[in-house]
Parts: sequence; structure tokens; C-alpha cells
Amino acid sequence: MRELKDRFMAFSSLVAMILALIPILSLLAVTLVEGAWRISPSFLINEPAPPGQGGGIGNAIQGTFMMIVVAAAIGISVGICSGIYMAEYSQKSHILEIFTDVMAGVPSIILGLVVFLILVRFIGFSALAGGVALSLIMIPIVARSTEEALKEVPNDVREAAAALGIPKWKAILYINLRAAEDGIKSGLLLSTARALGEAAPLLFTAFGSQFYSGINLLQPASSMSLVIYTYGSSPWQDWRGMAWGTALLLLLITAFMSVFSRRRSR
Amino acid sequence: MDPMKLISLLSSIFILLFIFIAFFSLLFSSGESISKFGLRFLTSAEWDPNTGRFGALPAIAGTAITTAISVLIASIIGIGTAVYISGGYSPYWVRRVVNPLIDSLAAVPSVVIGLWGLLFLSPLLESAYSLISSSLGFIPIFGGPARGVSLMTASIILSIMIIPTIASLSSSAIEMVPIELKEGARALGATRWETLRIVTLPYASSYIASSILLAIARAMGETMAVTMVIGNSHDIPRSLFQPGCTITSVIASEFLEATSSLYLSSLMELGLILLAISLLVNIVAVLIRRGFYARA
Repeated sequence: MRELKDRFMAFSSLVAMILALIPILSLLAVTLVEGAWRISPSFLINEPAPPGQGGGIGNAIQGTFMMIVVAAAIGISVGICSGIYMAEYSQKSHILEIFTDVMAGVPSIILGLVVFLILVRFIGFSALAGGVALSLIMIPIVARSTEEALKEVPNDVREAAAALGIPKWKAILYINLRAAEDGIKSGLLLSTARALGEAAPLLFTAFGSQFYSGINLLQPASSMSLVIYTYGSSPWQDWRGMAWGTALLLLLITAFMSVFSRRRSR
Repeated sequence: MDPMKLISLLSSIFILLFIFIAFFSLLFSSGESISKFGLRFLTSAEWDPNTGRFGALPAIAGTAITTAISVLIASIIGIGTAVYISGGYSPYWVRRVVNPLIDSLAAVPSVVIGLWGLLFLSPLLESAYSLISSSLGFIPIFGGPARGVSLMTASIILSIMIIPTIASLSSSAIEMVPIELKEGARALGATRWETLRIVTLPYASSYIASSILLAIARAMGETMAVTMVIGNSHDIPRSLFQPGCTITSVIASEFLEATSSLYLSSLMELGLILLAISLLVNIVAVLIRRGFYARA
């Protein structure tokens, strides 16, 4: 009887695991089948067109790129600095850790609302505002991974640097950060991949656009994630097709980045 | 003064301040709605931009219903998966194959899951719902005309998105239980399941609970996928198979249409409610998890 119960639990937990795997396998297969044949050079370059006239997501790719550059510039500098403070300077780092973890848990749409209130109302819908909103997603992830990577660095290294009379900031910059490099880089890649796929914070900040915006950061911009949302919810077959193509592209990019980051962190 | 200490301190202060900036900017911008509706905002089901009456009940109820159903489904499947992977039931290679797949589900952007849910899953579910409502329609929550975009579809999509959170955190919790305890129980003749039930799961329970809280916070705040599959209707739903709305879906789908300042302010108040609840849940989850680390 006890053996039987054990067998039964083994079986039901196996069923649970299979149920957990069905959605991801189905999602990958469907996106591949629906999306693969839509990706073509003109799809990657052109601006969107009315339903039935082809068109592409070139401006969305460009917009995504611009916003990620802004987000990374802010997110990486603030995130790494804050990670350094928690690992190297702070006596009470646990309070900062709690705040950082809580910031990471703020729903991304709220980040969009906040950036709308403190930035968009003054400078308008723009790629810059979109990038700032995405940076707020990256900051806590980068900060925590930097902190953890720095705390892995043995204390002997710090003491050796101090014994040689190196100022603390120089030791951090040239020695500790170098030693923690792999962990930090993997956090950067992971947070960038997260920011790439986010659409909710962009709705009221970058707004979306049908055209190339040049390199003007103060113009509204489109992103791949926004394209998936607006075209996927549209009633037209070929717009939905474009959403599938974009989804596949986004999946490939984020998968590539997370595989790369896992190789780094090993 | 150490220059790096100054710069890094400023960054940390930014993180400390951000939560307050977010909270107070939302609070001030929802002032008009708060002073006009007061507490009635929480209990009124009326949402009519034309007459300028706004009540959050359908959105709050929608968030509560979808979060509850999705966390229920995801806890069963997620903890089950963790038990299979880390509870001594599976050979090692299963873990090597399954863990990356679960992690990759966590990395799929929310809009992509929404696209799959809207265009692939919801037509499939619609026929399943019709079957259920024609046979079990006498039960109120399953009655009425079944729609593919509905509260139930949103709950299922949400559960798919939070399964990785629960599964991977629970399985690391199970692995963190000291091996002496597990082997001790096995040596005393307990079966694998008895070891789990009597030793491993109770020991890991606080960490598993914090993973469920994190999942609740994620489910409440999840926006894009839910907005795409829930149908965005402000009617109080009579059945799980009908369209509804959540706090996030209302904000996402109506914000850019909000023409009057009262409308905008009501949406900001919805955001404020969501932020307040998710801060609370997150803080509790983080504190529980830290308590577990301190013990383990």
C-alpha cells in the first residue's frame, strides 16, 4: 500500500511535469511554423504598409535598437554602481537588497505610467521616454547580479590590494570588477533580453509609430514588442502574419542572448 | 572622499527613492478621481467615460479571479514538476532536459505568449468551453455563451506564465533541504513520497510559499498577454467563459483613449491600487525568502 502510494505520486508528478512542458513546446512549434516563412529581407527593412500590401518591421527593429541603447546606457551604469555600493561599501546592504528586489517586482505597466507622469508629460511620446522606462526594468536585475558577482570575489583579493596601498575605488574598478566580470556580463545580457521583450512600459512612453524616426530620440518610436501587440490583435490575416514573424525574430534574439549568458556564467 | 563611493551611493539612493517617486506620482495624479469618488471607486461597477462615472469593481474582481485561478493551477503543476525533478523520482538526464525548457518558458516575452494565446490557444479553448458549458451549463460559473477570449483563457495563459516561477524556485528549495535529513528518512524505511511529505516539503515550505507569493505578484501585474486574451469588457461577468477585464488590461487598453482628466485620473488610481497591492505581496515574499536563507 505504501509502495503503491509512492508509485502514484511518482506518476502524478510526472503528469504535472508533462503538463508544464506542453505550452512551451507548442508555443515554440507554432511560432516557428507561422513565423519562419514571413521573414524576408523586405520584411526586415520596410516600413509597415496597409493590410494586403506587404510591408515590414524595419522601423520597429530600428526603434527597438535605439530604445535598448538608451535603456542599457542608463540601466547598466545605475545598476552596476548600485551593485558596487551594496557589495563593497554598504554596512546595511540588506535594506538596499530588499528595495531592489521590490523594485524588480513592480509591474512593468506601472513603470510605464510613472515615466508618463514624470517624463512624457514634459517631453512628449518619444524613444527617449521608452528607453528610460525599459531602463527601470534593467536596473534592479543588473544591480543584484553585480552585487552577487562581487560578493563571490574572495576577500583575500581586497586585502592584497589594500596592502599594496591601492585606493579602494581603484581596486574595485581595476581588480574586483575584473574578477567578477563573467557574472556581471551574464546579468547584463539577461536584463537586456528582458527589456527587449517588454511592451507594457512602451505603450504610453514610446507610443509606437509607422515610420522610421531617424535617430531623433524625441520622436515617437515603434518596437518589435509593440508590433506584435498591435498587429497580433488586428483582424487582418497578413498583419497577424507579420506579428508571428516578429515574434519568431524576438524569440531567436532573446534565446541567443540567454544561451550566451549561460555560457558566460559557467 | 572616495569618488566611487559617492557615485555608487547616488545610484543606490535612486533605487531607494524610486518606489516613493512611483507611489507619490501615482497618488497625486489620481487625486481628482479619489476626491470625486472616494471609496465608492472600489465598490461601483459602473465604468462609463461618457457620463464620467468610474468604478473599479469589475477590474479588481477580474484581477482577483484570474490571479486566484492561475495561481491554483500553477501551484499544482509547478510544485508537481518540482517534486518530479528534485524529489528523487527522476533520472538525472530528465533534469538536464527539463530545466532549460522551463527556464526558456520564463524568458519568452509576454507579448509572444499573448499572441500564441490569442491566435492559437483561444480558438481551441473556445470549442472546449462550448462542450463544458453545454454539459455543465447549469453550474453558474460555466454557463452562458462561451467565448475564446475570456476570463478563463486569461487565467490559463497566466498560469502558463507563472509555472516557471513556482517550478524552478520550489525545485531549488527542495534541493536546499540538507541531504542528511532526506537520507535519514529513507534509511528509516520511508518511501520517497513519505520522505517528501514528512521531511522535505515541510522544511522547504516557507520558501515554496514565497515562490507562490512572487507568482501572485507576477500574475496581478502581468499586462500584455492578459490584455490580448481577456476581451476587455467592463460588464460584471456571469461566467468564466465570458470576456472580462483586469486592472492591467483596463490601463493598457484605455489609457491612450482617456480624453478627460477625470478618466485619466481614474486610470491612475487603478495603477495606484495595483502598485500598493503588489508592493505588499512582494515585500512579504522577499522577507519570507530571506528568512529561509538565514535558516538554511
